[in-house]
Amino acid sequence: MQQQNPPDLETRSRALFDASVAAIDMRVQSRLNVARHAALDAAAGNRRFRLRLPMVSAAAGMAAAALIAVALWSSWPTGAPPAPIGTGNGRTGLEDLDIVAASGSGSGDALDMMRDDVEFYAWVAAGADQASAGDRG
Amino acid sequence: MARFVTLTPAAMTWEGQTTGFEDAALDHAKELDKFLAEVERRAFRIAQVGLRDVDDALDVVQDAMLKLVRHYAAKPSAEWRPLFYRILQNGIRDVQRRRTLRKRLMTWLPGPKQDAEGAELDPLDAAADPGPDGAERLMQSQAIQKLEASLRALPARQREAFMLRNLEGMDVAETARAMRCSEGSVKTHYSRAVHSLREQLGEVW
Repeated sequence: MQQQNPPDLETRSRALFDASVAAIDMRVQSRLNVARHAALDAAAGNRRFRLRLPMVSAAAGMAAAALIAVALWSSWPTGAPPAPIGTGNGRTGLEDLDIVAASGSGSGDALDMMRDDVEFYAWVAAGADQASAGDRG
Repeated sequence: MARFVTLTPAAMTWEGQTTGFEDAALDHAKELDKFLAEVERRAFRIAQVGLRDVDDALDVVQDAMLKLVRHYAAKPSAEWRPLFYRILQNGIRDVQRRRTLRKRLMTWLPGPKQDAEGAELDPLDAAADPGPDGAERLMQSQAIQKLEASLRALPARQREAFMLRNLEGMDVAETARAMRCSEGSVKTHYSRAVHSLREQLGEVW
């Protein structure tokens, strides 16, 4: 250390501090142990959540895809494809499903898309259902 | 259809068997446990010197442990110590600020005044267990109380520099990271702290 810092003060204060650390009573030590384990348990919980999250997300995405497929197929009772929704470009629900399926090959975009906005696709499916019913009526 | 999905090269599986990735995580947790066990007692004493209260010191240490493992566990283990002590010092300062605010509020409120800062340190908290050499232990206890009182009289940054640098044994670079300042500032704070302590303790020691 630097010359202006007398070693006696530093050495003595460090020795006293070390002695006071060694004299910590069992009650405090026990509470420190509990605190440490609580912190590590919290970290372990976070880690397990992170490990499982990608698998849960993938499963949720696949479930959403299945739900939409069922909704689209159920809106197709007479053999005629459901009416196009909103855009008026003549694209059918089946084509929409094909697009979703095609974009999912290799890239995983479809699953991500549905995972991000499941409510929107459920609304699309409901709209298709209503449009189909209107055509029949 | 494939029964399991491999998400990483470390072969994390759909079925959740123990994997290389999880083994590494367990090793990491053990390393964290070891680190915290090494620093917890000294961290508690540092917090106790700053706060003069066992329960508050324990709370601050526990909070520092939680924050370290939640936010910085993924950092290289060499960075844990300065990060941990930075969190600890921030926690100590937060408690001190809350006490100051509470003290100000209490002066405006009716009823009996409670002054947490004004409470005298209970000698039993700092005293060592009575042993065969009681006189020596008593002297040691008195010496550490004088040291703590002198440390508390220092400006906060000087106290932090002295405690981290000398009592905790961190080098200048680690202390600078813990205090979020330059190494030059650490040297200045430390030098002033030693000078002040010499003035206060010189006659006694």
